[in-house]
Amino acid sequence: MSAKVEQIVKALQETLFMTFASLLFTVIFGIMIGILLYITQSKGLYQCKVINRIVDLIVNILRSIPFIILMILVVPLAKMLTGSLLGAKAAIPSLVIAASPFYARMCIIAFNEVNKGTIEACKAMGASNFEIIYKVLIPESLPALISGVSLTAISLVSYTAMAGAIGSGGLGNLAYLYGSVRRDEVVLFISTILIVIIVFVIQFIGDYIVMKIDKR
Amino acid sequence: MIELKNVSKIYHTPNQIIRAVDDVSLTIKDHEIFGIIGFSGAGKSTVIRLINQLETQTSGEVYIDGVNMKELSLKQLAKKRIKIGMIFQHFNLMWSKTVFQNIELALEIANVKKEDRKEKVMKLIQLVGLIGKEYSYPSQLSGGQKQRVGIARALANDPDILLCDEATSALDPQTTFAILDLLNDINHKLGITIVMITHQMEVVSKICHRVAVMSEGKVIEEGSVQDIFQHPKHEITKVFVSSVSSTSEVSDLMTSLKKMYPTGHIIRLNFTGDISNKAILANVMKHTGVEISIINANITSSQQGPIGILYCHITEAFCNQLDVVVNHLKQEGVIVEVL
Repeated sequence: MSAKVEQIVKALQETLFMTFASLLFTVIFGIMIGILLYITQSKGLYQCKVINRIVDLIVNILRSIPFIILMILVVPLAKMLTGSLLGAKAAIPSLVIAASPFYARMCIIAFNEVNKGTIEACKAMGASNFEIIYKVLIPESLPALISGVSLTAISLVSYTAMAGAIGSGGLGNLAYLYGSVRRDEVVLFISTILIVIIVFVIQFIGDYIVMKIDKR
Repeated sequence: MIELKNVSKIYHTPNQIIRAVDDVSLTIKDHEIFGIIGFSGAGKSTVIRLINQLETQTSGEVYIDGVNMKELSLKQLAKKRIKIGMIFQHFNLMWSKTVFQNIELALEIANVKKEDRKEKVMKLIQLVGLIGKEYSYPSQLSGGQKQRVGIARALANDPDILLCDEATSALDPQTTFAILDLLNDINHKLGITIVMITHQMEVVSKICHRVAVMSEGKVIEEGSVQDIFQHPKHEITKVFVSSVSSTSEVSDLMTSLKKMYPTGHIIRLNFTGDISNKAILANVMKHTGVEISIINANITSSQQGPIGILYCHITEAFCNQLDVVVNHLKQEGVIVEVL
């Protein structure tokens, strides 16, 4: 029994590690891609149709590849970056590549909802484009950016379960091994409940922060 | 001094070419309050944005204090904009920042040291009458208070010019007058040149010194507020001027007065400035012995004092003395029209 508990604890740690490590990179890349798309769009701060189209195309392609296939495609890159084919660490590149375009899309939506007049007002005050981005755009879209983070984190939790298929470990993998292969319903249920709890906690924290910072 | 020389702004849409601003030339003197009035779509929003180059002209030149705005680099333009404040119809405050932080942002952009910012912000908050609201968020303020924050923010870096983009259009009449009073005050105290665009003639009459009337991208009439009120030349100007009189359509008023007084004469008297303080009508009646009855009156206050329009009736019994009365009134400086 204690061996099982140990396994569950280890799987939980792996899931949490995969989710939050990849979330960190996803948020960084997602915001960067989002800003790039926002400023290059028509009537943007640095309007540039070519860059906008190319980045948009890449984002759309990555978003349309099912995660289970993307993971296999990314294996060589993962090996190059992490030096390993197996384990939680090796799953991170594919998780980040899958989730970044998703989060970038949400950033764009968040940025486009920022009042154009507010941005115009700051331009009129003599702000540089860089100042407009980090002093106006980001703070004014923060609630939407944060809800995007919790949504992305939740997607990542379910991606980590799939990553089990390429040997990343984690709760999804555990549930699959015990539930499907060994027919051990107890471990299956515990794994499932733990995943549900993780998702609930992420959602709760996200909503709480949004409520606290939204002064509209 | 702000000079626009033959400025045009042309937009190309797939179906048509829109001349938003069409060969506009204007000179706005230092320390004056200059109004630009027009219906929506007349091009006045574009004109005001050409001054701080939020919009760039298709042709023509914009000079501020002799500097050609087109020739400035992005960095120089940003520096110039610090000295040109702007306020907006919908205030355009950051909801995520407090009143204090909203005003502070303007100082931050101008690279004012953190130690110096607090004092300056508090001074501005006092100037616009928002003491006690420093740590409120815009969502907790009324429209008038939000505009006061906008004004404080625009004045943060001691600008020489304040641009007002329909600054009172989203406010109720009472708040509008309070904000106009504040702008007037700022103009007097700080000597800032104010350029305001509006579609409300009351706004122009209350605080502007000079006004330009725009229609379809062109300036169709320009002059002192007094002139425009007394002798509107263009049809559109007449509509704006009559919008301030109690009856919206002057011609409607005329027909109804003519119906009520079919005999005798109706005269229209225009009083402006100092002369509206004298008892002219009483004097004329005493001197000529003619009985004059006031049948309609309307007084609007303006920068140059009140502007009064009186409609008077002279009965048939005094018809032969009409010329005497008219001459007497003209000598007093009243503009008389026999209708």
